[in-house]
Amino acid sequence: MAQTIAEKILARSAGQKTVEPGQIIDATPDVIQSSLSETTLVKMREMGADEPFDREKIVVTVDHWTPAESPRTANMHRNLRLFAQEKNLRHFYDVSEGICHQVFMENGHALPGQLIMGRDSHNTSHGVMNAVSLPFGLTEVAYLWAVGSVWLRVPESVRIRVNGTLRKGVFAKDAVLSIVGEVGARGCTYKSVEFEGNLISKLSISERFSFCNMAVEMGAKTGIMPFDKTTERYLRGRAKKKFRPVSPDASATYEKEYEFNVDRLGPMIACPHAVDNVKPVEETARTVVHQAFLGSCTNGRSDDIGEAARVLKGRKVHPEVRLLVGPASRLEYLAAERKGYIRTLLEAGAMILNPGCGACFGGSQGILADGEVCISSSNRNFKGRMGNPNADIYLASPATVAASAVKGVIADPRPMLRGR
Amino acid sequence: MKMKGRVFRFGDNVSTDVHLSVKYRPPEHTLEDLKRDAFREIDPDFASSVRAGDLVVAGENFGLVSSRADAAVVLRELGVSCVLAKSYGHMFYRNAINMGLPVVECDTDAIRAGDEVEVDLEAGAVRVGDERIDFSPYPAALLTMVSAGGLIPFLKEEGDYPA
Repeated sequence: MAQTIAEKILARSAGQKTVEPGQIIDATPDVIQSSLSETTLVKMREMGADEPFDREKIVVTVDHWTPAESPRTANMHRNLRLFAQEKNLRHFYDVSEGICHQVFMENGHALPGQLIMGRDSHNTSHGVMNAVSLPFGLTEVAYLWAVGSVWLRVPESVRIRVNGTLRKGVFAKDAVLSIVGEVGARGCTYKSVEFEGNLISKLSISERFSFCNMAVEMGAKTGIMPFDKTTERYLRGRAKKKFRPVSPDASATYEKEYEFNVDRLGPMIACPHAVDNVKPVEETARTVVHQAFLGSCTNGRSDDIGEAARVLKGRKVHPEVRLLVGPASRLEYLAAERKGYIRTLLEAGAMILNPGCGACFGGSQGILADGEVCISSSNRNFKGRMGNPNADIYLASPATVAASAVKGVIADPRPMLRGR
Repeated sequence: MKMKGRVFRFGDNVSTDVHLSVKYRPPEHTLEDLKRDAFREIDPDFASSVRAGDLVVAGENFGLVSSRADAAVVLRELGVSCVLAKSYGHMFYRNAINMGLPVVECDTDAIRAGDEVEVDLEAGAVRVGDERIDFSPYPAALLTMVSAGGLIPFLKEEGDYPA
């Protein structure tokens, strides 16, 4: 039977030749992405397990609420650190390293053909490496630590083909937002989304990452990219294991196929309070902003910071706006610093936060005041997302975030990029 | 497994950020804080008026889209006996079962706030007055798990996961 990428990977994980959508399988992941949670340890012990099933498969990152904002969080971080030492977990990334998804990928833990399971809904991101990457709640991550496999229902596959060329001032993030707007927040609930098309093949890993990252905002179980030269180049020097890329069979069954063309696309904005409430920038222009956030696993890499720097070079952040920049990881921060972007941002008046989840989820940094508006390069604009339900969040590309920070209102970055 | 209670009614696309209205306002993120302010943004009286056994009934995509199990725990801890919705965020759905909170996918259009509702998980039936709404019953393994109170109590009782 012809199989999609997801079906092939899930079949292998369950020791079967083929699987069908709807089938319940016992799947064994190749690697377990374990973003911060001491609760995982507590739950694992409650289950009567003291030892992880296979420590080589466990990757732990301490990334939420970093550095600790309260004794409670500090204790949680410490207990996780001690556990990693005690159990000799080799793949442990402490608070200095950045956001779990970025850190996991840049250290070569996500590989083509793998089944990756992990904590945090944006665990869909690792599909960028031509893997099936599934998000779970912490109780099941604890269960995976203890046992090593878990039941799941094979999802139906959906194909999203994205063609065309992005115009100047329009970015992968604008394409992602427009797709989420069209498909809707529940358009792909529990589906495996496979991306392809000639736009995708032109994009960098960082740009593709935003697609897989935000696949979950359409309800998807996973978002998968094809393997190509770009993936291969990215993995050179990072991959520590052999891997086998997977492509779908020509006659594989997709429940639904979408086709998008980005030739005529402009900057897009996801308006409050839903990620699929997407409008062209013109329709939201002149909305007053108080905070601009450039960061998160969605768009906090050095190329994102570079796009913002291109807009900000020689300009100043509006006096009534706070521009917060949270690099996705220490390595991305370093890359942005080497290219001079950080200096440009500081000169413009930005505040640089430590790498981590930062302001995106209202954890401990950049919480909004009542009645304030934030424009953000992150992934969610739900009520209360950034720590205050009486605030509005708009999502956009890094360039639009930077342009809005300068103007003090939501602004189209294209005029500010002319000649740059 | 049967549940009976009063209905609290919500609409479509209630995200986990709304379930946990103060979720990350440090240091107010203990379970008691989460309970006190659950759904505050869409029903400020919910936490103070919900009683043990009551049901939450919603429209499409209830509990989108984060992986936070607290969103299910807070309902269970407030005494909610069951959630009925037309569709769910997939992580919320799975977390709820793991946390021992029965969640049912069914047509909820006819159910109003304050209705008395009876749910029979084995039979796959919701009763509202004289109306009967059918749904696909849980597979036996999941029924055992949710009846046990979730994944961890289940493991303690059964020693293994339902495959």
